[in-house]
Amino acid sequence: MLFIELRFFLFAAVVYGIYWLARGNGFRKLWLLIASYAFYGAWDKRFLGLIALSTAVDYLIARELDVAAAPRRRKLLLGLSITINLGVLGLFKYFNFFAVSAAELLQWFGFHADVATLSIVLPVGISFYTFQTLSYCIDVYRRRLKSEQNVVDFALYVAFFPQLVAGPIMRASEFLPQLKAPRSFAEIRWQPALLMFLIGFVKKSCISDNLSPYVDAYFASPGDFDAVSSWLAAWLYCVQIYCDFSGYSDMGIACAALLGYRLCRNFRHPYLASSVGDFWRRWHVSLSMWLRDYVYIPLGGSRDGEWRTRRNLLVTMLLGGLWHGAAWTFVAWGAMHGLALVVQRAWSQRADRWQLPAGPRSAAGWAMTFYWVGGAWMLFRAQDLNTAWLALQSYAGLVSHGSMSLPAVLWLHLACLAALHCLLHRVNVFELSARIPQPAFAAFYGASASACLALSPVSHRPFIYFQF
Amino acid sequence: MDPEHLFRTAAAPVSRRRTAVSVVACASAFVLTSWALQGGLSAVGRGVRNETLEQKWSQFERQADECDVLFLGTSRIYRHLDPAAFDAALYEQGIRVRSFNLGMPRMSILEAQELADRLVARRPQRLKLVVLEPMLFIFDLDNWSAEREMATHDLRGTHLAVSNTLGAERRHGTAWLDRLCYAMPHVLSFACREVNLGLADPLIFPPCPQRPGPPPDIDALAGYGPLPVRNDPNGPWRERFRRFLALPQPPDWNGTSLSAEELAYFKHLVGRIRQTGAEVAFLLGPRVKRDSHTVAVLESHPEHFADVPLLDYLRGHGPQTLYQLDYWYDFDHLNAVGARELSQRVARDVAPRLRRRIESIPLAVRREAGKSNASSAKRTSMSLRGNGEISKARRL
Repeated sequence: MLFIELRFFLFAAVVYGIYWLARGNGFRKLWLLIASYAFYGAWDKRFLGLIALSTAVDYLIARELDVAAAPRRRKLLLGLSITINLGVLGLFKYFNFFAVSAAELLQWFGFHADVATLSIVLPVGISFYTFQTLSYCIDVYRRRLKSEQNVVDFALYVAFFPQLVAGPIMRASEFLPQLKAPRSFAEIRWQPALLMFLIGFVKKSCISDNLSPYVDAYFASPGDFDAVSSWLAAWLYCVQIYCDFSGYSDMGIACAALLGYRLCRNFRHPYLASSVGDFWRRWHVSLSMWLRDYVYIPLGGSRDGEWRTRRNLLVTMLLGGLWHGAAWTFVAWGAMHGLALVVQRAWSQRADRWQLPAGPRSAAGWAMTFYWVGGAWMLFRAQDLNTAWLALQSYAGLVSHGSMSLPAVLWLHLACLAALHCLLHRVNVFELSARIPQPAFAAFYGASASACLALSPVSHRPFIYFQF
Repeated sequence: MDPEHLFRTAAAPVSRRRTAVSVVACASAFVLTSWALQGGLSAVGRGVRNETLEQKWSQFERQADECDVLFLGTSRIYRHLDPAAFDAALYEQGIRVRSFNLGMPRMSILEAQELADRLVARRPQRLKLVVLEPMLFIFDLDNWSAEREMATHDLRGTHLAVSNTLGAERRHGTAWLDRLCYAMPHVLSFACREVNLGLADPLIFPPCPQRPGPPPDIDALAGYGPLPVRNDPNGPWRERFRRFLALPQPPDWNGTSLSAEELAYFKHLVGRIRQTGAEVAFLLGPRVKRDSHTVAVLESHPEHFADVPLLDYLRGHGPQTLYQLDYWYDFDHLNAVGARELSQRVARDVAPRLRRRIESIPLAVRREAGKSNASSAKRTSMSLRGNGEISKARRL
């Protein structure tokens, strides 16, 4: 069930209606849990068992972690949680990838290996809720968080439908306290929340889904296109993936807000970043923070000298790449970002020493970052390394492999979208919307909704991040 | 925007009356503006088009006044009847006609009605017989948001489709909740059409570049497309097919008759086609397995459609020669060889009726028609090579 589907609106009408009509907080939470499981089960009922198992395991382990005093026992319990969570993730997401890669490696050395691959469906959003439950157990282990005693609260934290399948990856310390008190209807600023949903809808349905066919056409056979099209395709994909993912996040945050819950912000205009480090503080913020807190810092962060810092950055980004998908293209994408972070770190130390002027430095930083991120997205989008290599050759070397080209009018679309991106950065449209009288806002909303539907393609595409 | 800004810290108390007035005002403003904009957009937009139907119709229209026989129905007409083989078989019997296959895969009751209405408006001069498959699709659970579905689901079409779906499911004995679920796609198609889903899209986003290659075969697009013979001896459907054929008895074709809504639909459709001056014949193509709609058509035919001849090739009714594995492409469709065989058989079966019909036309008119037939008879059609490949050939 997608946020832009009609059946979601029917689902939401029932869920929100009953939720706000109900009095007790306990019933509301139980109702939300049932609704969240129904939402998740709409993809495949078999996935429900997996999420229930993950919830039960971490709920019980965290309770044990809370009462256990012996460090060894606590480590054992944490190890058990990590093993089970990563084991499930590894089985469903990475087993075939590692099995096939190992067989290919053996073949490369001249050995023949028959690999048994599993014919299993990747459960939607498994990477997201696994990271949530992992962070919860690690926080309880670190004594930063008390274990949750109420099983409904914990299950709702894992399965809360607005953020279940594609984040943001919420921390238990931010979400669980919100469940303790009943949410107040009067506290919600309806106009900004509804506007946020509409903006998310426009991003996904009117922009991302409409750009997708051009990107698909290019990446189906980059060898048929000219060099200019490679730039266009890369930057169209920049827009597509941003609108797709941030659109989903916007809609998720708005859906949660309309229930009275606060989710964390996941995007801060990432394409205005002036360095790759800055990009990761703006793109998929909840994942960046997760990787920082649970991978980069435990590895040593920047505490143990320059070489260790570089290694830690690379390892973190490689794991970040692998988190996105079980393919070498994602690993290469992570490596490209890791490499950029290492280079950028060295460069900024020198630039600080040379006292380069801030304005040109920032402008050049923006251009280089955007170009680099665009190139990296080509690796992310390509179905295999060969396709990515062809596309990157065109992108970096302006090599025309073929004579086909994407429609030139798309440059105009790109320019308009870039202007809109900057405008939304400068103007707080949400605050503006709160000042409009309610009937005028409703009239604007009605007109916008009609225009959105007319601009939405007839067939929707699934959210890109659902596969992760 | 920070999600924190979606909440206020302190809310001033609002009276219930004021809240109610505000809700009514907001709802009215929302509905009014969205309705006004939708109306404006549908007035300026090109509207949704059923490309499959339009393409088919434009192909037919080019030769509409030269056609004597039309085939109308789903893929089991589109794939099963080869006009070239049909015409040739009739020619051997001294009947010179030209046929056209107006079948489309997954043709719905609304599309058939649309085509019948167009035929009445167009009135093809020489049309004598329409072979109609009374096995049209009523609902498509998955493709309700496709442009093809939206194009046919205006208010009248949706009402017709919903009533037919409910009628068919009632005949089936489906639970009422499931009946509603099956009717829902029609309502959704109608809703998509009414909200102009995707209407402005082509105005802003240009068509995607296509890989260079040969243009699509216009004959194949238009429906001269029997299925190729596949050398797939172990296809999974074959085993199922063999098992059904191994059953000693043919399927039991007795059961409940069509619902009142379905009967009304088919009576209306037959009536519309007859308004063109052509006769109608029902065709039940070869089928190995029982299905309730076929049964319902068979049951209803003697009582309600006694004046419509029934060409029945179901297993146990039609000739057994059609039921050999080499004639089939998959479980439901004949391949090109089977289609040629069936086309020839249908031609033989309709020959007496066509002959009577032709003889009832005054001689002078027949001569005139013969001249125009001879002058425009060069046409592209399908023929089959020995290896089953489809190729084009010129035929007089």
